[in-house]
Amino acid sequence: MRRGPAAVGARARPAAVLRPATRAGRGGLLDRYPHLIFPAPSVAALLAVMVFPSLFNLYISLTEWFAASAARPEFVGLANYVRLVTEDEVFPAAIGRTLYFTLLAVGSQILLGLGIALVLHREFRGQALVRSAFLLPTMATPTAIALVWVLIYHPTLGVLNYTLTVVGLAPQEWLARSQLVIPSLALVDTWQYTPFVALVLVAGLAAMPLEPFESARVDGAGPWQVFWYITLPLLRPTLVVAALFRVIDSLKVFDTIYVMTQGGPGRASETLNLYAFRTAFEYFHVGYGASLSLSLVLLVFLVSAALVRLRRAGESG
Amino acid sequence: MKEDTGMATPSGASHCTRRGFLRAIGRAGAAGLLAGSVPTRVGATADFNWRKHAGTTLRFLGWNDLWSMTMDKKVPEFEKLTGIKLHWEHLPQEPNRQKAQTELTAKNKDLDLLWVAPHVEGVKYLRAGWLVPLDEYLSNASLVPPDFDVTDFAPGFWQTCRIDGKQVTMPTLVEVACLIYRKDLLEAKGVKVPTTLEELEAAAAKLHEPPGVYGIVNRGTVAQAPVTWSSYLYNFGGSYLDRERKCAIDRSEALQATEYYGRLHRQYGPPGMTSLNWPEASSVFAQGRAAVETDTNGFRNIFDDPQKSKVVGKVGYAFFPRGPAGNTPGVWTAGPSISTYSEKKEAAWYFIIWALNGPSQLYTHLSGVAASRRSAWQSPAYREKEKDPAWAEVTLKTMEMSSRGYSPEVVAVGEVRNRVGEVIVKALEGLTGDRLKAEADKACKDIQRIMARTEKT
Repeated sequence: MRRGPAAVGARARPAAVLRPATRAGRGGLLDRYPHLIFPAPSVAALLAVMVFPSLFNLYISLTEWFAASAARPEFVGLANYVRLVTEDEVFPAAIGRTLYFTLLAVGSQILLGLGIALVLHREFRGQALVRSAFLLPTMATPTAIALVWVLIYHPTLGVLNYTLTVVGLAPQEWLARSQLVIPSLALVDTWQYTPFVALVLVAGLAAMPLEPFESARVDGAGPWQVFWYITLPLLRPTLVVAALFRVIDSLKVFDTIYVMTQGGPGRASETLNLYAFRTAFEYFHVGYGASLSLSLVLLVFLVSAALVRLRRAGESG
Repeated sequence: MKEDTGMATPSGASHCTRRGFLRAIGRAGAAGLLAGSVPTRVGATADFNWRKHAGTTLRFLGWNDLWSMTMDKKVPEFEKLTGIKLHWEHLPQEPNRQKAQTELTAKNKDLDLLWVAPHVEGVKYLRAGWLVPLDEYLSNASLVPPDFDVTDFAPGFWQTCRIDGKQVTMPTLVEVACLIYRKDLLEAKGVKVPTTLEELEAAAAKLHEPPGVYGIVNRGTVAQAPVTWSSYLYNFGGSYLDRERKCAIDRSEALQATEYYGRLHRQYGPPGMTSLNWPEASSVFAQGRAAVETDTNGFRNIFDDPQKSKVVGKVGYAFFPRGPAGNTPGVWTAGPSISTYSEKKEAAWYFIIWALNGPSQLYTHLSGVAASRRSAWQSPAYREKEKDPAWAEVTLKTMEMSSRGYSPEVVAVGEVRNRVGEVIVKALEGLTGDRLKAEADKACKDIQRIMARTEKT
């Protein structure tokens, strides 16, 4: 932190020297505090759209506020957080569902993405075309995708159950069955974001040095050994970055679930973000909703920190 | 008890004949309006000054329901009559609610009229002080045209718009729970149209032929299952809340209803019913994949539409099946209300009486949107036009005999209804007996807590 502004100042000084003496004499504000003035617009924007809302959210989370009434927010200290930890049975369940969804979705995306990346990494005709076409699911609007998948999963009229019965398998209730709903939703997420993971990994593969591979070949290593002892360790930082992106997104997943199941059946797919949204914007318990959303921030922060640590550990190792 | 009498006479579709229908509206007429005296033009009344607010502009945050879209075409007539300009926004229900609540919380003076469903947001809006009770206008002789007859509205329906003794809106949309069935399938199997819940279960069993046709389909999601389940609840003798406003869904009558609803649909319903909201449930029926549905009479507009339905001409309507406690199925209405923060309340009132007067109601009724004024049902033009007297009799009589809404009458209606819905979903998934009771007990504790938090005095 201390190094930043000083460095800017040091770079700014020679410019001031070149200015005509009259201006330098007046010592304009811009000349004296460029390190404060140039970033000021960005800092102001950041304060307005990030810091203020976060602090305001923190304040709201310390109040009891039923917004669908004429009542004003009432300051209750940490009561909402106490309720969250000691009283609320839905909260831990929602965290569990969020982590379960994230594990399933990101896990399969990384595995499939890695496989696809290894294929796409090879040279073949039409490679560029395939890569672009591959990205289509990721570019589509989540809500539109969700609506299409609702039709695919439809228990009586859906094409998935139709296909299953045609090949002689039993139809499933997909989104309507508590045990199946999270895996079904994770499948949609996987369908949409595996290409993204694959693309990041393709970039990682392309940036790898060739020497280790050459020397491995000289030493007589088989393809599996090359993959396990060279490709994978070299790809690890990229893998962690891809996982980090996807984990953050999955932890705060909202749109597809909201469109497809609204958290149902029962509460079986109500993730933490959905629970917070519902509490604040459907039931209007704004104070409690704010405390839920802050817990989500904390959860995202903790999981990301763990992943970043994993990456650092990899680098130093 | 009085509400039961309507159901004691008709014993199902065999009575839903043209004659029965004519008798029904005849009785309704004797009780209410003087038949045949419906004025043809609103402006006909000389001593009511329709132009008092000429030059005013009103903003109406409305729905895109069938009534509103039909009535929207008549707005130029309203503007010509009154000199009031009307900006009518049509939004689907949920976005409308979110927008309305945002504007009301912000005390927006620019909002004059809004659409309110008494059993959904009525209690919340009224207790928040967002709605002007219409009583003060209704009781002011100078503000009601002489031909605006309040007794012409079906009494049960008029009651549904009264909350805490105040008139929050006037019954404009008309929906009643009824039995919708496939005439052809019942006939082919020799199944009589069920008149009791026992008969309904037996009929569903006979008609159930998966995967081609399921015996019955209804709403099954957390948010919407309570809507169709509530009629079963009432007919088993249960209620959402008791007289002391204590949660009552864990009492034995309610549990019987929930268990019945769960069993009926688990055995004879389509797979995955817990993912069906009303559009999905009705589309299962419209696609010809279910023999029976117990939902709103308003679905006729879907099932009669060749674009949306494969069962046009094969659908019959009958009274909701009677239960051990009689027959008071859920009814539902919504209508225009005036915002407290409006600065043009009286002009807004002018729109309401214009939209709800005899001629306007007759116009929408003839356009295929059920009216709450009995005079509309009695009009010769309508009698001539109606092709399905059974549907008309079911709608009109149910409107007379029940005033129980689909939803619990609480401030936090969505939250409480969802909590009830969770119990219903468990029953649909197979929970019964003591475990279902334990689930309902837990829900009741939560509901009491929610009410304590949201209904502080």
